[in-house]
Amino acid sequence: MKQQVSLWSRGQSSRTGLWFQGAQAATPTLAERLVSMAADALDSWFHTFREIDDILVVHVDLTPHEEREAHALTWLDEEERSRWRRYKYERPKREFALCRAALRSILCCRLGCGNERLAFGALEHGKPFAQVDRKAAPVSFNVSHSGKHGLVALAPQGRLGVDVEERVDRLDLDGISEIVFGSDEQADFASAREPEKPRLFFTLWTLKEALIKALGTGFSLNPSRFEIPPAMRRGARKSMFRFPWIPDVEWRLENLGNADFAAAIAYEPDPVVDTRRDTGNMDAR
Amino acid sequence: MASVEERMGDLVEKHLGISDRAMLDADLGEIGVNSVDAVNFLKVVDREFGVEITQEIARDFRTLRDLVNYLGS
Repeated sequence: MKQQVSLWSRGQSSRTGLWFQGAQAATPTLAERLVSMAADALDSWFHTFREIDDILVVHVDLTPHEEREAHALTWLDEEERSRWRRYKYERPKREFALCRAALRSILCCRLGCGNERLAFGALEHGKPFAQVDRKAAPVSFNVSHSGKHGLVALAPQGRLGVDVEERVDRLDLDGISEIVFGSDEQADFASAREPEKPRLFFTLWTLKEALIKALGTGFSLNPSRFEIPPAMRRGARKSMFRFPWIPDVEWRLENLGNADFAAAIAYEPDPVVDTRRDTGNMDAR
Repeated sequence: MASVEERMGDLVEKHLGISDRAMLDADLGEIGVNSVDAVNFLKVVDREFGVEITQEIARDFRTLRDLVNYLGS
């Protein structure tokens, strides 16, 4: 059995790149053995992507793969399998199964529970949260996928949002920018030149969506109502951010993009209360 | 002249890659339309129908049929 280490301890990655709970346990529990066995089978499709403070970001490989998808389905509960059956096409079926199974495996490791004890609830705008034995679990997470890439972000507390987008060339970037960018963002985007223009678009899009997902409002929040900090529009990888109508809450923003995809994460570095159900003053929007 | 539904079906096939017209009645999430594709499609509809659909209006659409009905109303 592979060595198991805490999901939140830094610099102790197992050979798979994932971290597991119960490092000091001489005799692993049944849950730990199940998690380890599952991880052996699953680790070929998800692995650690980034560690930021106490946040873990895992990359999920969504390349079509029958065996992985079949194995992923065995991790889902009946409600999730029902949801999987409702998807009309293979791509969304695959994205859901592979990402949800990866999320379950990672959460089981983090929470030290068996998969059968894990369930998910949903907040007002559909943002899911984890439950163990029907009680809210002490963990925050967020999931995003696009094309062949999925990202799962986890933190011990506080709100967080993650977004990933493949930089596809079939979109009307100028048209979309008129809808989702603020005036200064639009000006920066309009003045950008190829080939940086599409990169800037997807960088801004993922940063905005990560913030919206962290807040938990979905697209009931118009993304043109707030702007990404100028330094990040000019290429900085990190910045702090405040929504204009929630000035007392500070968010940390980071551009996670690489050559393969655009991606971003937003999280509360210093959550003061259990804010997973607080989406701020919606009336101000 | 093609109906709104026929024109919408053509746009859906061209821009969302969905050729099955029965999918007009499916939940957008169940056919795998993500947020960037959805916003992009709003601009397509704007250009093709000359109707600006704000995000505030669009967020109430659960299916493509809702959009067809809005354009036909």
